[in-house]
Amino acid sequence: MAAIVLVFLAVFLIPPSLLRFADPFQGPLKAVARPAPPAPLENYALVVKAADEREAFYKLGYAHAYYRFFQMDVMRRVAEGRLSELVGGAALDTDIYFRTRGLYISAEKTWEYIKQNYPQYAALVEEYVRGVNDYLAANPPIVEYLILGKRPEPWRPVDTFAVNKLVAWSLSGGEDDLQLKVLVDALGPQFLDIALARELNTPILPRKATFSPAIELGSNNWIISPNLTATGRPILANDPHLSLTAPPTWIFQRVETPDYTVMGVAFPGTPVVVIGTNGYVAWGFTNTGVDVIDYYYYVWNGTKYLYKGAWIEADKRVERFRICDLDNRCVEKTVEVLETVHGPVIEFRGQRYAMRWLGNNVTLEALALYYMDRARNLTEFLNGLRYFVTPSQNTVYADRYGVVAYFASGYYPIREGGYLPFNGSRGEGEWTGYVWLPSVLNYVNPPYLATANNKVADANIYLQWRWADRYRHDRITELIAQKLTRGKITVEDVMDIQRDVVDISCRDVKQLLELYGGDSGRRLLDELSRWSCEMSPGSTTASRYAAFLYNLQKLAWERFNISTTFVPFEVTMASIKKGLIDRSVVEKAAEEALKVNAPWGSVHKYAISHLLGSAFPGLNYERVEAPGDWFTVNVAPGFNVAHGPSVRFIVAFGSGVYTVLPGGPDGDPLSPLYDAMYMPWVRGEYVKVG
Amino acid sequence: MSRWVRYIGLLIPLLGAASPWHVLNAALLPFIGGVVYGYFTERRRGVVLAPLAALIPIGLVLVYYAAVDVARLTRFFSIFPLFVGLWAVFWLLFFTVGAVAGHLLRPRNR
Repeated sequence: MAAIVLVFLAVFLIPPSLLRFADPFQGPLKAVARPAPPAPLENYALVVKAADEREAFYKLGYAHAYYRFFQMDVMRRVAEGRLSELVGGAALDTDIYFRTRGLYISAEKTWEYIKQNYPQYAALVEEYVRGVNDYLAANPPIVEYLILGKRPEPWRPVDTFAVNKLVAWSLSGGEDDLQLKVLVDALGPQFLDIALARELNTPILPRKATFSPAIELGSNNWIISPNLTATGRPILANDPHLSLTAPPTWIFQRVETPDYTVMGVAFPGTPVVVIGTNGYVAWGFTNTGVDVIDYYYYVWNGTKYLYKGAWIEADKRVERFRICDLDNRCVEKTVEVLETVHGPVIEFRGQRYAMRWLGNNVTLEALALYYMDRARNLTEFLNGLRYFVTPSQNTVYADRYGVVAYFASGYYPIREGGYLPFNGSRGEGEWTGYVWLPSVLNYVNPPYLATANNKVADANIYLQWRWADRYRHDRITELIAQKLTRGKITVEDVMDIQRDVVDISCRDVKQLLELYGGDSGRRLLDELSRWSCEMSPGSTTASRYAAFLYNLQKLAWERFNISTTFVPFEVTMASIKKGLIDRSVVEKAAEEALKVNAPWGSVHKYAISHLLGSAFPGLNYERVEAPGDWFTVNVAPGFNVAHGPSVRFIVAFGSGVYTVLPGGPDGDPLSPLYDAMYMPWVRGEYVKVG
Repeated sequence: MSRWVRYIGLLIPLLGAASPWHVLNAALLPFIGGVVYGYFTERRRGVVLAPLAALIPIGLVLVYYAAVDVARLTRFFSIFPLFVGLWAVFWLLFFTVGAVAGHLLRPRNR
């Protein structure tokens, strides 16, 4: 009898999470018995066929939840600052970061606005949400929740908009102005001149853009015009570079209704195709990165701040966080957030700043994409693009009639400067209006045009300074020009370009070594002179070259306590040439590079993780050799590569639609489709989806 | 008759399929199953074989999941060996402890 009592006592001393893990019926093992899919996957694409739009949105909601609910939940929780309820204290800093910035507030405002002003679209969103929640109502066995011991909460329309806001924030530049201030304080105004001029960069648009201050209203992609292609019809290619995650950021979907059929990639949690084609038009995006976030500092007296001569009490909101562990024991924490006339107050290196971000307004990107999904020509497409506020995108367009075009989408706030924090107390940096960027930054029917986050145009106003280095852009246009000398461009040519791993920054680096290298620099230069600049996994020179780039950035910028990739390489080179950065870093970086004796593929691998992948490494995608580097078209920055082409997408009118995702369409780790496209993506293969 | 009744003990852990409680499914039901198994086992050697007997309900659960979707079960094994191991250890342990306790509870004159 005593034994029985002891066993019962022991059982109640075991942590509930262990009992859950060991439960074969209600624990993680239950996830093996998953219901059949609601919508089939054809060629790894989610296919939804519906009698009308409402049914299509409902089915999409159901299917997104079936294939990707955990991912959707994580994204909304990150945006709303509620991730620590799900995964515990490790996520608390992230929660405080996003809750402070108020993304959830702007998502709520946007949803209210859409309900009042666009009831027809609001009804479609509600259908999507109904689809998600109908799937959840059956309490499906989703393995991540069975591990964490939580039940999925119902989806709300505002969650869809919170996901949109999160994407917009992640492409908007964060604290760039504050980090630039650190560098300008340390290096002086000459650094600012170098950074703002970006003279070495190549503009996408050949002509200077002139913005009229009086206006008051408010990755890689390229297009090739019909007369340069083998089919005589335009080709559009896009490979947006985002964080690589398991499952992938995107889901590829094809939605067929009697009115229209649209296919392309969508963010799980949002119903609309973001990059895609509907047979009439096709479009793709890369981030322009134009600066739509400003920071303001003030004279403070407690919670009062001086603004244009008057003391104003800052608004306060109290944010409550629930942090829950694996045994579902929760604790609460509260954080008081101050708000000024400019926006929420954040702290950066001990200094208070208010943040003003364009995305914290009501913004209608979802509506824009909905109209773009249905557009049948350029006029209709532009009608949709007009609703697109932020994040500004290099939008490439092609249609079945042979038109190709480029627009920098989005709106841009007019103010004096914007690259450094403003003195808010003096009333500096007030936004006086907005420019609709496509009205100034556009190019209809270029012979061909490429964008790679490089400078959009030389302009008479400041747009941003952290344009990506020109190398990817220049390599794409160089390859197109090379291929044109041999004949017309084919789909296979475009695929070759997306797979290209030649880093043409080596041309600049050779010059740098020649100018400032010592003994080691000359030895490295000698080796680089015999090298094709191809960042292939088998090359030891590629390893040394990457080590040089990495060490140069590190030696130049690490002492300022900023990320080594924060400053573009072109700015690093210009700073070295002007003597702002000690020129000896070139020789030191060369010394470090020559110590490397391993082939590139042995030190440069994909590291694509699931949120729970640190506890369960089997959830992560296989670590395999990654070709390319920071500056190759097939981008693969760093040594543990977790950033790169989040989808490869090609629309060749008259030939087909081709795509590949860095992972699988199904987010369920137990599904054979969880990582089905991963190795084809690594190898640079494609699936024809239309 | 008692020789056959003890096999009912092997099926008791499977009652967890209808229970939402982890503590019952992971520990108490295999323990109770073990008690029934041990109580109705006449020879001590039968009790010694309890860990092997516990493999039978484990096997039945695996057969069920394999019948549902063998590919998913295989992936589960490769991604989450910890959970499979933990479950097997719990059932083996609690069933065996239950069997010993059941055998000790058994009236001497039987």
